[in-house]
Amino acid sequence: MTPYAELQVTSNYSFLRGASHAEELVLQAAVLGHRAIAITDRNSLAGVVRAHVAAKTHNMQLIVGARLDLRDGPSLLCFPTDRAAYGRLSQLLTQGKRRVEKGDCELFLEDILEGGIFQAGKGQVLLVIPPEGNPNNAFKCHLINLNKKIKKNLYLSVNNNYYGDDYKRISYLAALAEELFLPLVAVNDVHAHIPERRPLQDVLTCIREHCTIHEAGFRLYVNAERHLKDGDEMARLFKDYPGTIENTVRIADKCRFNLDELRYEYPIDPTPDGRSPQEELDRLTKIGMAERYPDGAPKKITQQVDYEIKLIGELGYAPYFLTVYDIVRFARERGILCQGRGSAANSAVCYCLGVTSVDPARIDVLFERFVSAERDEPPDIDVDFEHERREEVYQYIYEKYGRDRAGITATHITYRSKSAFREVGKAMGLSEDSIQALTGSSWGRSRKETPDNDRIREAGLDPTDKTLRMVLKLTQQIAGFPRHLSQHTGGFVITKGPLDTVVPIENAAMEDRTVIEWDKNDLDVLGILKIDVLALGMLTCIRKAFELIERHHGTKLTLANIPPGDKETYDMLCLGDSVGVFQVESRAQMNMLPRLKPRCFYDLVIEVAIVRPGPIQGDMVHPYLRRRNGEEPVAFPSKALEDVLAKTMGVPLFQEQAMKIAIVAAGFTPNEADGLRRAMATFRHTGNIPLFRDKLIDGMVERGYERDFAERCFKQIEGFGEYGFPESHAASFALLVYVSSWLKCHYPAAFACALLNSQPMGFYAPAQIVRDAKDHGVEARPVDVNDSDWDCTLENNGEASKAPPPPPPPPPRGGGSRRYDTRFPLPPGGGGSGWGGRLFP
Amino acid sequence: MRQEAADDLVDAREGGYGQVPALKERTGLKRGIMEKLAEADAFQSLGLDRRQALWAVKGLIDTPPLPLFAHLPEHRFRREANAQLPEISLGENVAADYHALRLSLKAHPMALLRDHFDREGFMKCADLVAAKPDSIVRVAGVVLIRQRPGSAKGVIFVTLEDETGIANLIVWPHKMERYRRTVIGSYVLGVEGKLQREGIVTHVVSEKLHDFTYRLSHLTSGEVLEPGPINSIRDIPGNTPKTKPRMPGSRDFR
Repeated sequence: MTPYAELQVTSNYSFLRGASHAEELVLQAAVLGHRAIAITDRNSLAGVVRAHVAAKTHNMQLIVGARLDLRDGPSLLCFPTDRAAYGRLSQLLTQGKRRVEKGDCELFLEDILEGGIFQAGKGQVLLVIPPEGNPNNAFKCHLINLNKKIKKNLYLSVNNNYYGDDYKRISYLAALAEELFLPLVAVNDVHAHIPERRPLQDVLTCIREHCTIHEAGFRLYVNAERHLKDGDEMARLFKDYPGTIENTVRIADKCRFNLDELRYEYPIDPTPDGRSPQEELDRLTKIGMAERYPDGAPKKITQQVDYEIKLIGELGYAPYFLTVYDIVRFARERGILCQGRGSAANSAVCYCLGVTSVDPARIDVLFERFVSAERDEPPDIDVDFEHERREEVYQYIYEKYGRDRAGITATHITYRSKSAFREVGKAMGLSEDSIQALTGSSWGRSRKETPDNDRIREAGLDPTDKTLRMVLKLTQQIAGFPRHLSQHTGGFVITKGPLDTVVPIENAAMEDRTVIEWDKNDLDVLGILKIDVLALGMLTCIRKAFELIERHHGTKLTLANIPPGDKETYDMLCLGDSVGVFQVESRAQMNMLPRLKPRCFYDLVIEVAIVRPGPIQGDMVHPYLRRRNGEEPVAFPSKALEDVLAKTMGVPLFQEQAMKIAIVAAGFTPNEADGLRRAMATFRHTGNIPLFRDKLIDGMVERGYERDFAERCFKQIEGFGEYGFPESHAASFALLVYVSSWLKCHYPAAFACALLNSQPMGFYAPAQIVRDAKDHGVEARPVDVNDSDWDCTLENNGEASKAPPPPPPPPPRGGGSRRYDTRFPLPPGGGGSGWGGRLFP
Repeated sequence: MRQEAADDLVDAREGGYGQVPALKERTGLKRGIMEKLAEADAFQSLGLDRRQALWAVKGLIDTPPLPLFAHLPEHRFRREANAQLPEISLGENVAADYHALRLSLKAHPMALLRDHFDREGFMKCADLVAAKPDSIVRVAGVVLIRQRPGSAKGVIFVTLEDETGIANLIVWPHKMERYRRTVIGSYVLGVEGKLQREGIVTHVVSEKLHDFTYRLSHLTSGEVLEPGPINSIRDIPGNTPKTKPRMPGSRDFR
């Protein structure tokens, strides 16, 4: 096979242009025996990480690059040869993107040629792409100009168009190249990994051009040749210019930059008195510990803290903890309620720093789940903030680190089958009515599902119709394609050096937000740290309830001083009386509550974790309930698993337990177990899940477990992949469940009022919240110009025995209006308040 | 309505508002916003019901007075004979409440339609608790929530609400196939099915489903509906009055 590397490859991250996933392209290149493959999306590096992962899997060399589309000159393919050049390419793209609105990039010849960020192509290999038609004089002028300014590594690319004049065109370009002493490089302008993607390619063109396939005409490519071809075929096509093929390999050898070289570095905040980050973390933790445990911390905690500090020091994560601490400190100072979630709750240090609020003495902390020397990957601290005030935290981060060092993670929005069907249908010329008929019903929130024949007939269409079948086929292909970039719900990437040398940054649709091109899976792969600044409606609600209670009842509450273990609160939950309560208000949870009968905090942790796809798919719910109710003996599948499963009566419910089973019962290494979890959560289509499946089930059966149990375990891990709750996360959530239940139980009026003022959030519409409040003896009063505020307010009910201070909208008015005649009795424990409805439609 | 307008209203409130023109004078609110307030029935403390308030507000004039007449006290509102407005019915009031506020404190729409449902043997949601397990029951209500959890293999969970409480429905996939439009499209849903009870949790396993959304129009039109069997086609186009009350959509989760 002739050695060859394809250098012009458009993946589907050039939205509506490329017709294949980066993974497919890399795999196909491997199959064809390419020496290397480049990914060159238009003004974007969004797809390179996926390609990078695939390249590693298939042992291919990936040439990282981009196609630079200029506003005033020919397009160029750009391949950085080293880390520094990669940084400059990324900065150049950032510059182009920050000039214009989201999703666009504006670059000029000047940016490439003059000094500036790009340093006139220093360290890059640049290929000039000739125009599609006959190269004209303007192109020649540009080429001469580029050749003058760019001293090294400038090439001219050449490809076959099959318009019938390739011979003439290529010989012209060859002459031009010779005249300018430019090396010529063969490419195939690849838009798909196989020729069979041509129909999809055409439809993508139609969607992009807003036309139907019948109107598209010359906007489509005239043939299906833009796919990956093997080296021999390319050598045959360019047999008159063998140098062009050799040059591809030469370039591949030059461009050895690998994304693994992107070493992520934590930002280091300056610390007072010149302490090192480690010393500062130690100091702050000690101060925090004294505050958390005024009577002295229990031995278990001090030991845990010492251990964690030591490990953090060894791994050099102190700056990261300080960064998170600083963000939380800022929020606290502004009175923004926040709480760490996720595996951070496994850390006593995080508790002492005030990042998390679940006392590690109350749950089994498993610090290794959070930080582990073995895994050598950054810890992941997610913090929830009040949804109404998160923007303040965002802007603080931008201000503190600058826009060149902090950016929000992207989310790659992909086609779902419904949206795909609509657009493909339109491009294929289906009438609006037919599209409506098929998309009107509920199918298609999932990725691949398409309507079956019955459904098509039900919609009044003919399932044997050729066009429709084509549309459905293409819909399936396009589902899962990225269509645009959006913002992640809060993942911030903060770096020590400039972030824009790592990944291009673009403007978000929202004002004052800037977003990087990679999503969280990409960051995970490269070990880049992300701090999740998340928004949680319930925190807003709780803060508002605290404020109302302080104003009307004079009681100052915080997340930490709510009395634990309150019997009435648990009584209420056992009845499934949980409208408005965090997490457990869903119908499934409401049904679970009376069966599980939570009586202590740990029961709530289980309650939160059990109604999740993981345990449900793994068929673990009923065994647990039966054991809990004493209808089935607590037994363990083996002695070894007793440790793992003791606290959940022998039934695995948490993510950690499922992982531990893989280790203890199937002989996985901790790294493999984590790999398994990742394989489930991310990159599902890379297809190594069956491998894990066999390894897990066979491993367990070999060690004497029943196949049925092993299969259920696997199913559960599968379910956990996307929606699993680790115990620590469930514990963080359980705390909010308890706090909101306690508020609902003891201050139903304030709770309902706060809920209404935090809408939209939660499961229920205002009407149901009001109704539930009424059921709990709260009087709901109508909107009135004389009494209402912008928000719902609490009003003093005249018969209150505790006589709380008068509410903000003062009720003095002449004339006995109806409102005062119809008073309802007070809620027993609630203090004397009804509330006025939210004014203002 | 914007928050600034609400702030103006609260700021200028002092001892309270006694009359509509005075309120306009003090707050400087635009008539459009005053109309919104009237539609939300927010003038009750002035002794005005929704219709009277709207009448009073519509009489206001937004334009500045001509200088020559500025001193006249009545420049702010048109001189009109006291209108004899028909009294607003409860049904109309509830429908208007839903329209303006997405909820009503006056009554539940189902309470007003109860007669119709009683005649057809629909029980109240609250009575499900006392019903025998495995018996066939009929229940109807406003659809609060539809859910199709990924882990439930295509089963749809629907929560209904009437004036007494809520009812939990289970719709199996084969029923869903048959009643897709009804399940997805109804605001007011009637169901006949088998009662299931586990502990204190009660479900109705749907056998037949019927869209009763059209009955909401009887809130405003006051027409009396003839009793008939479930599943009869009543909501044919043309049979529905044009003024359907707007109901808040259910919250649907996957």
